[in-house]
Amino acid sequence: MDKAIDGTFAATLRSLEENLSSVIRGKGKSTRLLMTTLLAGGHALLEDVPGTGKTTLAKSLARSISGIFRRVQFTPDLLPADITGSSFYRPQDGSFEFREGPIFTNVLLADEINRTSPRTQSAMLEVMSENQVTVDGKRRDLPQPFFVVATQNPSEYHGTYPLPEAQLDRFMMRIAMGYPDHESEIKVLFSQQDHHPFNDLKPVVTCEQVIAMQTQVRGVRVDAAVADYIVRLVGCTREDARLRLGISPRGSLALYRTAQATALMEGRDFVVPEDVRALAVPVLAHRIVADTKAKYGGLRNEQIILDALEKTPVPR
Amino acid sequence: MSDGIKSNLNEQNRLPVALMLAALVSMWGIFITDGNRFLGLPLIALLLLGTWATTRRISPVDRWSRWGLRIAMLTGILGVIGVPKGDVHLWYMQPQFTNAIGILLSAELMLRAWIRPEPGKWRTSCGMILFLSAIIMTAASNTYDRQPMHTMIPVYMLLLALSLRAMVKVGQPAKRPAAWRRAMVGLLALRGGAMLLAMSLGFGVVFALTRYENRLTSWAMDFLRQDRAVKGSAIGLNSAPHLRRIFNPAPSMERVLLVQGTSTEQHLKVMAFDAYENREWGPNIGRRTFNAATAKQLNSGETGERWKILPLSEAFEMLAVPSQASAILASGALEVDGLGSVREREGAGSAYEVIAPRAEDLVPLEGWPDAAERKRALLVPESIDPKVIALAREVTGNGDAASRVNHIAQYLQSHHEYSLSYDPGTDEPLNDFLLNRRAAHCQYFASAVVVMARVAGVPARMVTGYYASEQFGDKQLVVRDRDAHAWAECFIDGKGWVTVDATPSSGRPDAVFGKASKVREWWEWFTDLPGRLRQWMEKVPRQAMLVLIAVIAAVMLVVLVIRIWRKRRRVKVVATGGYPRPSEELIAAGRRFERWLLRRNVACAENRTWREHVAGLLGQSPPVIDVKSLQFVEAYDRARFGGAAEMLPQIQTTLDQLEQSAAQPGSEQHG
Repeated sequence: MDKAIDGTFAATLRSLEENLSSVIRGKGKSTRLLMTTLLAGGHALLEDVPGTGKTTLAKSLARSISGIFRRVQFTPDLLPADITGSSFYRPQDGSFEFREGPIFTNVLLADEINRTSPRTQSAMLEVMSENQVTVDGKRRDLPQPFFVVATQNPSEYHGTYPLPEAQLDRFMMRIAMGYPDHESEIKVLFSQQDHHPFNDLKPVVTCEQVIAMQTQVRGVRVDAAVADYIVRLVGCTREDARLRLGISPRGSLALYRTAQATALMEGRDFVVPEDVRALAVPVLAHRIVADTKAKYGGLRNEQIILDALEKTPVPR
Repeated sequence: MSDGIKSNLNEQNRLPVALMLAALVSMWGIFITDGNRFLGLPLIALLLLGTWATTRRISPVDRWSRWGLRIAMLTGILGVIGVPKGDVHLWYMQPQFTNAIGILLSAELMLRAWIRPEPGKWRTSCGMILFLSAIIMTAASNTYDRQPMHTMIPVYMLLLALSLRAMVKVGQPAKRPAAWRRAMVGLLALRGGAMLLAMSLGFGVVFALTRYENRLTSWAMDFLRQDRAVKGSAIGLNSAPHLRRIFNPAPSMERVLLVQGTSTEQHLKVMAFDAYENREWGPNIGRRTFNAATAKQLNSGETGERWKILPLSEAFEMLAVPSQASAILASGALEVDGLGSVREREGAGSAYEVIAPRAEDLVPLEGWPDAAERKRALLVPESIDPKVIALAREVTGNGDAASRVNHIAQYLQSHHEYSLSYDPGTDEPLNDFLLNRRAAHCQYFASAVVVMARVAGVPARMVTGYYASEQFGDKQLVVRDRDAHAWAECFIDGKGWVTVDATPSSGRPDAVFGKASKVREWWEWFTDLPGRLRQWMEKVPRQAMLVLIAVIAAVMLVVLVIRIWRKRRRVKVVATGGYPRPSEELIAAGRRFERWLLRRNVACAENRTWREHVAGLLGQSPPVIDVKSLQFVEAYDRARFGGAAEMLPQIQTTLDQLEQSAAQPGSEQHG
């Protein structure tokens, strides 16, 4: 009995998806993956070649949620305080006043995240894993919901700093946009004839609704056999000799949550192994580090995850 | 308390409350089978079955409690059949038994409090506990009498061998054996410390039990045999009653007698007194002559009303007997004095029967009074004022003895009130009582009747005893310590000693105290249970009991076999996550589907889900499989991963349809 799926939930999801599809055409899978990440309470990394609509998708999602949206363009001269905020001295009364940085928002678009120095990137670590910021020894909580959508271009290497494993691990999913298909690209051309459809976007879901949906996701049933399957899958990568770094428990938890979100989006209140298999690559591929030989031998992370899927028996 | 211990006190490692309860229950089982130990076997076997069934409900994953309970129960059984011969009234109190149980339980408690489970790493198994507990018991057996240990230890070792199977999988030592070894050593050291503490506790428990053995034994005897020692023997029923301010200073609710019978006589005599001097009635018990009861006094051939009286107190050895009794049947040796008081020398505390004669067969128990006895019973005490004597003559009138006595009783009831206390002053209290028409308690009324009857020429004596008024079940009266009462007996020719109770009805014990509370009634019913159960069990023929034991053992064996068989067939799941395991039927349905795929040469690989496999097959042109198989997969997924057990009939129906369509050639449906 799909008791978790009520009309409200399904209607909200539908309107969100339609809103996004009106701007981003032909990227149904990416759109759904992004929505899955939002419902699972994680953060998304959109990675692809320039011009595929990464920033547009992130901005569309942000506008669809009637919360605060901030954008940070990560440049090489960006400082950590530019993200988290810092304390200013007030000469009038001799006190320090904290001015919040752009991180204090519901949706943060971190554009070209790999263009800033590792020092600035590390400012995001606490933010993304714990939803809080510590400045001058004082802890400040971020608003709820808090969702980071980062974009990066994998093919350029000049002036970029690859994200450290610790930060990559904090992204729940890495979504590759890809090129639109032929018909969809034609529609893109015509849809932007007069103006960009992004300007017509209106918010369709409130922050409270997002939080409610995230709570519903956590109630989705995961059978012991499926949990076992997730852990075996992840364990397979830890024993893979080609990898220098396997998947952490954060990875298995991310897979667990996204599987729950996927099940709910498909109208089920329980997770099936197919949910896990469908999400294995976007959720796990960016967390592993192949050793030098495998990397330069042309082995891709996605292939390693697919190999793990092949090796692990499915529960029945 | 550290977090580790705190977390150990709930969920999988909670304190074995069930274990403690089981140990107490098994000891209680031994109580009630005292003297007839074979009868305890079926009861304890039933308890074992019960704990076997209920411990799974207490905590499905808590094997500790279950094993602990089984040990406690088996020890109880062995304790019952392995007891040494001889008169061991309460066997559980023997040091060797309490030693083993005390140490075992305390060791179990301590070790469980110290356990830190880390699933996936080192699985702490009950085998380790049992092994360590076996060492404890061996140590204990060297300290005390070894006899029962020799019986218990082999069984214990057998349990140990069975439970050591749980020690097989102890985690993943392959990766880092050194770290694992270090951890195991640490764990053993921790347990060693806990075990030492446990042994100290255990010995402490045993020490306390043996030191206070007497107190505990007497409590247990009370509990078992419905014995209730009357505190501060009420009103000196067996000693010379003294006329004083308060009759019964500390009336207690303790039950003294249980009376069965249909008689309406409510006065039960304990002692009678006929000599009054210095405010005291005598002779006291030390100055009486008791003669062994004659055959006539014990003649059970007497017909008439019968009472069955069960004493519940061993405070004194006198029997309470209705005034009109003519014979008594008791198991011990009886003695009777000239005033009709009956004493039981040995066997005090067992039930006795009293027979009261029909009017025409009337012969008092002690026989007719002889001349000396009559003279004593007519003697008016010297301390009595002449005005009292005049009053008595005026009150009694000139009728026959019966009417005179009636006048006395009526006069006293109408001219005097009842009072729980009465201050007699220093002079003869009876003078003050009668001349000044004072309010007093029953002793004064009784004494007044005696004096006035004697003045009127009717032999009379003072009686102390009980007034039975409280119903207790069907045709049964219960007499409590507070029902103590005093009245008079007057001798009427042709009728014998007649009860004359001149106390106003407001002064009778039932009016003064009122009914016992419901709570009291229920408590007394509950505490009577062990005795009643024992009596019932002793009546059951031995053969019937052996048959019952055999049936219970057979049932247990069958249940055990079924459980082992089912456990073997179940699919292993590492952790349930709190969800129930898939049912046998669902697993069977899955197997059937796999066999169906195999028969169609489209077996599904282990690394693919059925849905992916079936979708792939259906996508081929033409499809090589029935579209119903997708329906089956969807229904199966819902049941298997969604917990929707109600899908099972649909799953089985779909399977039947698939198998039927497979049997018919060309029956595949194309998508």
